[in-house]
Amino acid sequence: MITLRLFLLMLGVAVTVSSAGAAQSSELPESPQTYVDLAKTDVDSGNIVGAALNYQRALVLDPGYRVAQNAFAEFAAANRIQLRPRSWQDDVVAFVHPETLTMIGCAVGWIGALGLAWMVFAGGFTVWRTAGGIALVGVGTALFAMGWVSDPRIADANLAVLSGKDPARVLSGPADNSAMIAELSPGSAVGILSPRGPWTYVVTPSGARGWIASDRLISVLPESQNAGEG
Amino acid sequence: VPRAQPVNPGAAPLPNTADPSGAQANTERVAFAELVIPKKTAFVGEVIPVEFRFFFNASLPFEIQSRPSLSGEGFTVQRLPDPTRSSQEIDGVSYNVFTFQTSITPLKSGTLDIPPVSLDCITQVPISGAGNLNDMFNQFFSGSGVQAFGQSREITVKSDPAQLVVKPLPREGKPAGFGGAVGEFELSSSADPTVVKDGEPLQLSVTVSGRGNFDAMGEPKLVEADAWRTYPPATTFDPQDSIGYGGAKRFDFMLVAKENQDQTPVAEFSYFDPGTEKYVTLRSEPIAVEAQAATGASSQPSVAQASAVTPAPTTDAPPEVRADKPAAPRSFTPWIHRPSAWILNAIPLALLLTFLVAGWIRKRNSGEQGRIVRARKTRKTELVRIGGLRDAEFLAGAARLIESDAAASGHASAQDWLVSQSSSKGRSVAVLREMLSQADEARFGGGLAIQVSESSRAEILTALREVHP
Repeated sequence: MITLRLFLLMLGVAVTVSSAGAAQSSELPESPQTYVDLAKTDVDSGNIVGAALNYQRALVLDPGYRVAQNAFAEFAAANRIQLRPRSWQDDVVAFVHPETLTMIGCAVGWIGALGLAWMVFAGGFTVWRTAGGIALVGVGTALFAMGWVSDPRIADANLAVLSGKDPARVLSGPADNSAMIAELSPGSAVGILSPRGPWTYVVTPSGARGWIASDRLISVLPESQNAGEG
Repeated sequence: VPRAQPVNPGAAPLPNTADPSGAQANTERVAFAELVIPKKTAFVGEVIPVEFRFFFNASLPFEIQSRPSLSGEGFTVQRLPDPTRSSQEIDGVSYNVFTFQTSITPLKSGTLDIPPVSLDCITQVPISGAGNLNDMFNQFFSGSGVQAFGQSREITVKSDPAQLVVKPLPREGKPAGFGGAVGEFELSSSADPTVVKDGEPLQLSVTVSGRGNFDAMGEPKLVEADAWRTYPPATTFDPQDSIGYGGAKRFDFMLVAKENQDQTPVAEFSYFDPGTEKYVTLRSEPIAVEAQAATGASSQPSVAQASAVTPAPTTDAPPEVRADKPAAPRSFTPWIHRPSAWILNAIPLALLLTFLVAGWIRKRNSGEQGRIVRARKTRKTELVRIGGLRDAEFLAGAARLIESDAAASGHASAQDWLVSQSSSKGRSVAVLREMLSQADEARFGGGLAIQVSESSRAEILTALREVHP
């Protein structure tokens, strides 16, 4: 059992042999459903920002989790929260989790590379074998790259949710008297481009870029995670 | 068309206008304004495009000091956009015309008084009595808009007030879904995506286009929508003119099927057409879609949305139509950032390097080069072994080694091979030839005891190391 557990841990797969132990451990991975449940609790208590944050966190953990997608879409529509347009990455993660894609890409790429190396070691180079090895390396690299850019924990590492009760104004400059570019409802998510003290340069779901008060932003990734990632 | 004269015509007479109230002043004015209203009667809520035109005598320079503003009771007015500029000739006099377009919307029935609209500007008028000199300079600067001798004067150009008779919207025939739209409109709709699964939302876009009061209109009503969960639409307006009188307003409804559906709800939009003085109700065609309802307990809406939803089935869903895969536990740290990923990738990397290095070594040891390397290694081992033998055995071993070297080099005998060695190794070759002679004596001497001194052994071993294939 220990060997199996170690092997699975090496694969990056969460091992929850004991549910009781899992509940007590603070280092075990989070569950998207946990965040969906938290979001629904927030909705019930009228905490729009908290609900949006927890839905976003659920989707960061598993962007293809349809329960979270549907619940968040309904929640956003009911609260006039603007969502970013659907991208090709969303289509990818609808089929497979980006982490799985990254792992498969690694495995396929290494199989191709080791096959080529074996041919160097044992001989037996042929055009087809060489082409097959190179193709496996190429496909593996492509899958790895696709998983990398589709993973919201990497691609959306700078995502933040707007806090507060009033709509937040996105301004053309870092000053209160700057022209307003857009107005976003609390709970809307923006991408942080450049924090500058009390003001942060952000990109809105519609793609507009402007300045917003830094104290209105809550990072979607937990702060410890951001700090850990530098 | 109500037309107005300058409010202070006497302040800005033309040079040859001695009496601004005279006949000549009426035909050649400094500035005047007119208000253009396309109709004299309207309905409450109807948007009426209006134009304010300000005429300035083209032979005089003008500087506009303010923007005209219009306000009054019983109507709303759009903000005046920047004016368009044109030229017009009236009674043989050229005027620069500034046209402000806007719209007013009556809010109550009755006679609506539209107050005058004024515009402040500064002009330069010639100094009276300058005589022929002034005329001469004016002719010189004619057409340049510059008066050679003049004085600045502020003038206010003001339009006449106007009246509009506003009728109430008729009570009879008013549809239940009438939301206050007055004008002429068309309705269209689209859905995206048209195929959704497991309770995914789809967007029904209903577009109202035409001319009218887009600001005040209510949203279209969705009918036959009991099988859908609907939410207040997001709206976007695409104006076709500067005052927003014409354009297209899009209402994006988010829809979620409660039950499996093959077509969208119908959008219904009612408005009052002031042209025909009747209410009109437009209905969109249903759009064919494949909308699958959510299944499974996890897709139930939250309590806060309960007023708008129908409870979804909880446990009846068979496993094969499960709404979603179980949400596997995940971490906020991507796998590739975890130590396990580096360890896991280090294993094939080590294998790869091992294969490459081993392959290189294997290639190095195979073929002629490999044979040479192996022979050198064997010879080196043999030299060490011989170095440990005594006297006759030592000589016999050294002779065998030389004979083996000769055979490897393709020579018939050891002596021949030694002869073929370069002259630079002459001393070593001589030592080895002497050694071969001693070995022959030991081999064929019939029990003759041969002794090899330590110095000779060292000499022979050195020569053996120096002379090799």
